Formats: sequence, structure tokens, C-alpha cells
Amino acid sequence: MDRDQETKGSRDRVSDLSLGTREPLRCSTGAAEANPAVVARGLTRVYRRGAETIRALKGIDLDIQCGEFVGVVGHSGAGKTTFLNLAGLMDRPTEGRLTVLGHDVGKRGAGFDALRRKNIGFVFQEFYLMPTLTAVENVLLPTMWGRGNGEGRMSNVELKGSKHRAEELLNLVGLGQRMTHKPSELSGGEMQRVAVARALVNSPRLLLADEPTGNLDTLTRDGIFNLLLALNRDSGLTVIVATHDLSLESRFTRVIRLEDGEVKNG
Amino acid sequence: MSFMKFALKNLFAHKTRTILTLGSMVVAVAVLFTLVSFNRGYEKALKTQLQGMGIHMMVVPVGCPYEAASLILKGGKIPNHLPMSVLDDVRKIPEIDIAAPSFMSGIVRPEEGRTDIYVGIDSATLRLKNWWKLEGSFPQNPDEVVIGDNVSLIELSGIGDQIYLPEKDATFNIVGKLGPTGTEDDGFFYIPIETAQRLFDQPDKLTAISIRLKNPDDAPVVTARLATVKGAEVITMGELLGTMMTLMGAAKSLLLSIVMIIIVISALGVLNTVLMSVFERTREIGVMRATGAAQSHIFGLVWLETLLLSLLGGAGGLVLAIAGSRVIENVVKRFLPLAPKGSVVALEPGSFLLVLGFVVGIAVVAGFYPALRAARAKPIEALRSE
Repeated sequence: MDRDQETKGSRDRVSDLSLGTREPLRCSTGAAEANPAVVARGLTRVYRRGAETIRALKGIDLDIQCGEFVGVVGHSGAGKTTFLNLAGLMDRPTEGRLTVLGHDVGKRGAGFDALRRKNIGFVFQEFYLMPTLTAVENVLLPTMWGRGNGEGRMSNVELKGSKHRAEELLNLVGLGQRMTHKPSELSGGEMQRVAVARALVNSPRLLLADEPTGNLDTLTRDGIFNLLLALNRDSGLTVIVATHDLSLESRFTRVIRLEDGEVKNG
Repeated sequence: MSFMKFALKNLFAHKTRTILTLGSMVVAVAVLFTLVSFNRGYEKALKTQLQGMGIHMMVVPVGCPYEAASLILKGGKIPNHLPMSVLDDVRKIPEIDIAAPSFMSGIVRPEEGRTDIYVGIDSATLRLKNWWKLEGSFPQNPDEVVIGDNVSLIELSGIGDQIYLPEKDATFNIVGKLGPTGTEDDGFFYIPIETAQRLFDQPDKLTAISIRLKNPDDAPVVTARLATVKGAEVITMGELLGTMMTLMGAAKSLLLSIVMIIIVISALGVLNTVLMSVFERTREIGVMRATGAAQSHIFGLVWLETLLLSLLGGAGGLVLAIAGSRVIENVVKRFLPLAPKGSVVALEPGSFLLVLGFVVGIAVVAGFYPALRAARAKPIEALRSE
């Protein structure tokens, strides 16, 4: 199926995403080639599990440009999640150099929580919604840690603005009628759409999705994938999706294949 | 969504556990607040009562308990008495304004579950206790009696009625009635001192001599002079108060020990609840970190939850303590013979502050470790946890 056709249904709504937000979703206004979102050089991540040493990433080199819709594909254990965790500033490389949105992850310091909060949205395979919160409260979760464009708690006006945006995002993902439902009252597809809305609430420059359709049926999988596609196509958001679903490969603008912690093509 | 709302939602995600922990906090705070208030109120009431008596010192037999009425109420007998001659020695001291002798004994009435205490006095007592509101007249004849306010209520008797003592085959005419004094004086029968000595076969014996000085500053001089009187012991009101508080001290220490145990138990209860909650929410903490929460956010959130839990428990405990203070007061007064009349539970701002300190202290101590543990969780490991 043609990507243009696939995203057609979502386009009108998704293109409105930047309306009323503090800034556009794209990671740079310049030419994509000149603005790398993620650059890895000799990126290595080694884990120790008891006596066992696991080399999850073995010195990979890659560049992902702003505005790309990239698929990181490979079998389980290939290193996809490890790469996303590093790109998402949730982990540190053991060796090598990693630059995310111009920030050297090797020089990781206190500012990385704020960088992640302001610039990176994360979607997980298992949704990871807060069971005690409603859909709209889950979407608002990242705003609770700061303004998104600066530090400190939000004022009442900003709180109202965030709530409006969360409702806007839930409408966008088709959950306008499910805002006050808790995760236990939502289907898998609905939960993942809430997770996507949550990842977008702080207007990130980079969206990372780790097997976002892994727990969904085919129909729901297509709905979520089309939503991510539309976000990239219409808002210029850089999207990196890790998946082992080979049927999705043709729908990315570029595919990075990982095998046993190494890049096989880029 | 505010931080506070999120913390409350987390807290009540496990309602039963939270409510049980709150319950233990409520009880701990209620007990602590009541005890502190009772301690302060008791001291205050006792001091006020003793100072209000206008008695600066008492002469009692050596080895005699200070609180003779309490001993007699329990059916005991006072082991020693003062000879009447001591009264003459006392009255010779020029610094003394009034020296009022008294002889006290009781008649046990097991079928009615009480002991009637008869106090032999003379007119000096009337001058000493000038706050007495005597209705009728002071006993002039051997068969006349003045009754305390409580006695008139119990006996359903008044002026003009007679009281017959079958044990002594004696009849007394009620010639006077005391208005309520708010002290133990309300519970006594007052008869002429000679009648009392004869009635209880203790001629020329005294239980005590109550003394008012012309100038309270002369107490050390008078005490020194009275110390030479053989068989007599001098107790100043300051000493009496101190002794009573010492007697109270043992009971207070026991109660404070119990409170300390309650504090430790409630702190452990809060610690357990918050720690369990942190363990159960490891993955959620990972999600919070993944969505941008800094370590300080997680630490603050968990600590806020602990503080809310403690403050809610504290508020509930205070409400319970205030609501139940009258009940507790009645129970305490029933079992403490030295309890003064009037309120012995003082609800003071200082007690509120102390309890607030206790509550915040529990939150600070019990919340620190779980908050630290939660904040230290690494996002990736937390997300992977089951």
C-alpha cells in the first residue's frame, strides 16, 4: 500500500498537531541532511548479567536525520531496544560516541532528564500506562515533571494549557470519548493510542517507539502504525520505530537492520 | 494534573492497606495527644488546686501518707497520729496566722461500695478555708454535722435532716451544707474535732494541722522551727506538689514507654506501606523516569505520599483525641485518686505542635528510605521489572 494513501485518513488531523503548541514538532527547521537527529560512532553497550557478559551493541555507526521515519528491525536480541534506550537517554553507552539532537550522550549529566522530557517521546510495546490515572491524566504525566520548555512547576494557566493539549491529542488519536477512562477500561489499541498521545504531549523533536504494535492485532497495528506515519509525514516529527515485524519494513523511509548487535545495512 | 493529586491517587490505589496504616496512625496520634494533654492538664489543675487552698504547709505525723483521704477511701487506717499538744506548740509560733487541726477517719460501707469520711475540725478550718460557702451554721454541739456538696447529693439529705451511724450508734443533725468547692472537700462529713476523736476512739489525736502563714516567705523559718517538734513532719505545698508529681512520674514513664512503642510501630507501619508501594510500582517509576521525571521528582513524590499519609493520620488522630478527651478524662479520674476536680485534659497549642512534630517526624523518617530507593531506580531496569 502506498504511504500517501495510508496516511490520508490521519493527515488532516495530524497536520493540526502543531496548532496551539509551543513549537513545531520537527527537530530542526533546516535541511534534514544538515541536521542529524541521532549520530552513533562505534556505539557499544555491554551488560553484565551475573558472570555472563552480553554485548548488546558492538560498535555500530549510524546517522538518522531529522524528519526521517526510520525502522530499526531485527530479531529479538539484535540490540533494537538497547539502541532505542540509548537514543532515548535512558541508558549510557559503554563505549563509542552517541549524539542525540546535538547533545553528546557520553557527557551525560544532570540536564538529561530535562532533555528527555522536552525533546523525546517514548512509546513502549507494553504501553506502560499508569493504572490509577485516566487516559487524559496519563497523557498529562510528562507535563507534571516540568514545563517542557524549561524547568520548574507549571502555573495554573500552563496547567490548563497542558490539559487542553492532552485533550486535543486524545481527540487526534480518536479517543475523544474515552478521556476519563482508566487503562483497565481500554482495549490494547486504545491504550497504545493513549501512549502515543502521552509521548507527544511535550511536543518532542524525536519520537522513539519500541515494538509499538507488538501486542496488537493486525487491524489495530495498522491504525497505530498509520498514526506514527502521519505524524512524520505531516508534522515532520523524526520517528524511530524498533520492530521485528518484517511486514512493516516497506513502510519506513529507511530501515536499519540490526543483527547480533551490529548494523547489517543502513 | 498536580503533583498532589497524583500522590493522593497513588496513595489510595491500595485502599485497604492505606486505610489500615491510617488507622494505626490515628490511634498513635490520638494516644500521644491525649497523654500530652492529660499530663499538662493534670499538672496545671493540681497546681491551681493546691495554690487555691491558701494552705502554705501541713504538719503531719512522721511516716503518715500525705493523702490521708485516699488511704481511708481504700479502707485503710492511718498508722500514726499527732498528739493534741503539737497544736499548742504550733500555735505558739508567731509567724503562723492560722493553724487548723483535723482528725480524719472513715466508715466503710461495702454494701454501698463507698467509704464515708468523717473529718473532725474546729472553727479555725472555717477561717482557713475562707472560700467555703457554708449554708446553715458551723457545728457547735457534739451531735451536729456539716455535709459536703456531694454528700448531700448521695445521701439525699439537707439541713434539718438526721444521719444515723449504726456502726457507732450515733445520730447527727445536719446543721450546715457546703456549696460545691470542686475539691475533695465535697465528699466529707464535718463534725466537731472532739466528737470525731471520741467517735473513732482516738482521744487527743490529730491527723494533720493545716497552716497558713502571715507571710508565705516565712516558710523556711517556720519549717525549721516545726522540725524540732517530736513526731511531727512538715510538708510545704511545694513539696506536696512535687511529691504528687513524682508519684505520677512512675505512671507517666510507663505511659510514655507505651507511646514510644506506638510511635515505633506506626513509623514501621508507614515505612512498610510506602516501601511496599514503591516495590509494587517499580515499573511505574521506570515509566515516570522515561517520561522525563528526574530522580528528585520521584524522591519528592514518594516523600509527599508519606507526608500525606502521616498528616491524614495525624488529623484523624487529633479529631479522635479531642472527641474522646472527655471520656478519657472520666476514666482517668476514676482510677486516679489524686486527680483534682475540674478538667485534667488541657488542649493546648503546644500539644498540637508536639503532635505535628511527631507526624512530620514519622513522615521524614519512614519516607526517606522508600523515597531514596525509588529515586535510585534506573529507568531501564525499572521498566524491565515484573
